Amino acid sequence: VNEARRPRSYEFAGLVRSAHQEMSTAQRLAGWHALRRRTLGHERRLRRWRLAGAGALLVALALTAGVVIGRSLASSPLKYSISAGEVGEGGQLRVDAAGGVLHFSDGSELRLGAALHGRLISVTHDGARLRLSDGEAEVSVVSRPNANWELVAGPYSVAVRGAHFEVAWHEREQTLRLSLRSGTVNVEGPLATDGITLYAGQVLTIRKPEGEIVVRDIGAPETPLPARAPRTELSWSELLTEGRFNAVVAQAEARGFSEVLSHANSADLAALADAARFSKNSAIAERALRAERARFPESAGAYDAAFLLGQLHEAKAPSGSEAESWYETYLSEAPAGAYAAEALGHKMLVVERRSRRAAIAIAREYLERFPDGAYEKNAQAILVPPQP
Amino acid sequence: LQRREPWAAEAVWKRYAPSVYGLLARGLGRGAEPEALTQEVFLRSFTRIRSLEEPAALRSFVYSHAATVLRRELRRRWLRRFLSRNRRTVTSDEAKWLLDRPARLVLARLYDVLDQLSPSERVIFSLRQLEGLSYPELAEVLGKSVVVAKRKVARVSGRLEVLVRCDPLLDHYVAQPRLCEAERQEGA
Repeated sequence: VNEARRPRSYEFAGLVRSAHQEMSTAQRLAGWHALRRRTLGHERRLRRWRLAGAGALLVALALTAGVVIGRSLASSPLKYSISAGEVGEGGQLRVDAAGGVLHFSDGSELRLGAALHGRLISVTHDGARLRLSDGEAEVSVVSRPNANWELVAGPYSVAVRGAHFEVAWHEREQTLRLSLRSGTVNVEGPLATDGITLYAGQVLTIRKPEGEIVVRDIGAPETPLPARAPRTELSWSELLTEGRFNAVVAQAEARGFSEVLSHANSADLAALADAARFSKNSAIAERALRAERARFPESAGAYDAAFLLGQLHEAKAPSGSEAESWYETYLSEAPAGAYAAEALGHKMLVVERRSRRAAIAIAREYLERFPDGAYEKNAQAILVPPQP
Repeated sequence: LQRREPWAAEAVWKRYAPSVYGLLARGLGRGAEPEALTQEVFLRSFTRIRSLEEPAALRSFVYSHAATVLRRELRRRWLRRFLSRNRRTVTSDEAKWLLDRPARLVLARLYDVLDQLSPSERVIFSLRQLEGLSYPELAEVLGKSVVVAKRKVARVSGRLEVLVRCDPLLDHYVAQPRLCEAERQEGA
């Protein structure tokens, strides 16, 4: 370093060097032994870490293998067997005279009626698909996460996650009847294109030719249908079944709404109300429903019209008193009717939108009457609101 | 060392331990425990010896680990001072050391001033001005180019120059270093 240009701080170097003693021989020797000890200790620790790492890797590999094996086992299809019958080629079900039972490895089983015609379409790891072409069956599907069962009864599809029910499809009469003991199922098909969710304790009857869907509680009396004269053109119920809602409204308009509302029978009025509701024409729907109530008082259609009027008004004003009033009307006229649980549940929700306190009594009544109902959680939430 | 010859580690220790010890002792100043830190430098060097590509650069390799350990120790001290809010702690041994030789008062002031440098700056000061490493050696130890090493040294020297000028005792010592010559020789 050039002395002339050297920074003045270099002056300190000599002072610093003179202040510190160099490493002595004894220090060097002791330091070497200490370093040996530290090196050995370090190598031991390193070996231990490597062993631990290898162990962790083995555990991770074992876990991964376990998961892979578990998944492959879980994804293998359910096993099944049939007693008092056989599963023929293409899954064709043949049942003995006294009926047979189809058992699945997850515990689900189907008791097949004697005259049943059906087919086991497919079996997967989380369920099965069956076709019921004609006959009756008692179905018991064990509830499991991701359970996915489908029963195709005639043109109807019954989706099941976990439920116990009796189902009958009569090909000749084109009638479906499903009596749900526990769980929930969803039925889709003609007349029920948006799907109907059934809850425990309900019976669904669909008469396709008559265009009639009835949901009632198990044990409630079934209203017999009047005999119908053969027709050449499609009835409004049939048009409704085919989803031709606008055609129904157009025909009513062509005949004159006043004429229709004054003279059409109960089924046509109900079909017109449904067609108008489905085509978002709530004014015509309300007129048809009111006409049905006025002209056929004391009938099941009139009672149902009260519930449907409640639905119409709830859509317009979700917390309105008119909707509440119609639900009350339905509940007073048909306390055990098909829509009783729905009506009480909706009444509770309408009132809750105005005041939770006011809905408490209705929630208590709902839980008492329908402890397993669709609005059970809503009722519980009203009684015990969730903590923020 | 790379071939794990049993004699190699001891040979490297014997060859470089004194200079590493000196670097750490002088770089840290008062309160230093250079023995344990010297061992740590060699432990680091031995466990990372596979990363040494050019065997001829072994000295710089060991010095670069010494610089790392020195920097880390200075940072630890800086943090301790910062947390205790006490920039200057004088132990009883140190007080005795200070009183033994009047010239060492200058040394104590110097370390006070050095404490005002960042750990990285102080490492550069130690390597260049106290240990006398050449610019190529310093560049190798720091893992920088020679140009960058020179620029860093210039910056540290400039900073230290200002700090020394602001300290009356150090400024006086630098202006008339011969006044303390006798004391320095006595200390040596």
